[in-house]
Amino acid sequence: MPNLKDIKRRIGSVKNTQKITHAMKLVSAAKFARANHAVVSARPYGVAFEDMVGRVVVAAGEKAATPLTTPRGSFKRTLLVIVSTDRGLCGGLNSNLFKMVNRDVRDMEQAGIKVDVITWGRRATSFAKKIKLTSLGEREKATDKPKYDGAKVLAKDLVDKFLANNYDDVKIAFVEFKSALSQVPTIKNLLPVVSTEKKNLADAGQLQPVLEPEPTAFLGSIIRRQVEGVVFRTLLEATASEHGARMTAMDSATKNAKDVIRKLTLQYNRGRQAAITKELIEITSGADAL
Amino acid sequence: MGSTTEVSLEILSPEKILFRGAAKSVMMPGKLGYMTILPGHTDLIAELDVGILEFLPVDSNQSQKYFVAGGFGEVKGGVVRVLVDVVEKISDINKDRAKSAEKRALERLEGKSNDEIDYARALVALKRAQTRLSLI
Repeated sequence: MPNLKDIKRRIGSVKNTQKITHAMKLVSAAKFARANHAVVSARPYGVAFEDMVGRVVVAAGEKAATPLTTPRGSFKRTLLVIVSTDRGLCGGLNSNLFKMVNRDVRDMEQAGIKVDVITWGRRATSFAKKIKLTSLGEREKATDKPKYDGAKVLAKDLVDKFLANNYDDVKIAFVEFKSALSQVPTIKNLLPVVSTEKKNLADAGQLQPVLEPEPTAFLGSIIRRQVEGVVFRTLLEATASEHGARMTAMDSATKNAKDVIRKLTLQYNRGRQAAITKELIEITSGADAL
Repeated sequence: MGSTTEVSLEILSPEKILFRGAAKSVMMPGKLGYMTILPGHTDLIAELDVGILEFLPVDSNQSQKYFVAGGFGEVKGGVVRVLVDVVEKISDINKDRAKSAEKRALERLEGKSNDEIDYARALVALKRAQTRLSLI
């Protein structure tokens, strides 16, 4: 039986841990509320823009094909962006993502595709090093209150690398945000931009919109902007996922600490009671002996 | 087709919704020149330049003006959507910043730099600054 002093000390230390996890939970809850709001406010623009790009691509037709919108016939090289958090203490958020990325990368390598990565977030950087992927760049604080201007710079870098290095596609791995309790690791295709509106082409009776200026003049810039938008929303989602996951993880850590404290307190009280009983027996048996 | 007396207007930036409501007319800065969208306009997708976005809400006679720094405008069946990354209300324009941006751009244009891209960027910066200043 551990002695009473030890138990007391452990109770104290668990209580301190509980205070920390509780505080972290509150902080994450506040950050989560903000991140969630950002995701929701960014949605209308994203949906509207994607719809518009689809219509532009359809209306512009074949003559407006650019390298950014043409799917490649064969895949030899892929650029994969991994978006993770900088800090831990967010449950299985990063490890679930890395598990999926690892599987995916192995599959691609087996199919003869060379994969280069870019990492946004400290955890992703060390993960890429650990499984020995060729890294083209790393960044920290990508998910610290993402701003559109920042996303613009990141997106430009990706588009430039895509065009300059003959990548066949660019993918982005992140944790998609469903709700505070559910975050799903996802790999999304970023480039080339393949319109989802192609299927609506059958609606040939529908009047095509007037494009101004000539579609060839602005298709490049509209696709770039689309990529910027997707990168921005990806960062927002990753941020919301991070805070949501941390909030849940810290909540269960706080609950767990409470359980541990309860058990230790019980043990401590029992020990104390046993000691008292023992002393009483000693006294009474001593008195009997007289 | 939508109503013949009003269009429903949405002004969206990647970060938030700036305006959503009915308008009698919308003027936007197209790449090829300003255009005014009235109810019943045909479907259109246009690239926007740096300039002023002005619209007349249905419930007032006072038009509202915004500064926009490029983006896209779409008209589809009576819905007008303006998608821009940078959009500012007149009250949000920072005069001092615009002034110093104008000065910087002018200095750059007068400088001896022969770099084509720099020149184009300075021109756009100048236009942004001057459009902002014209609104104050």
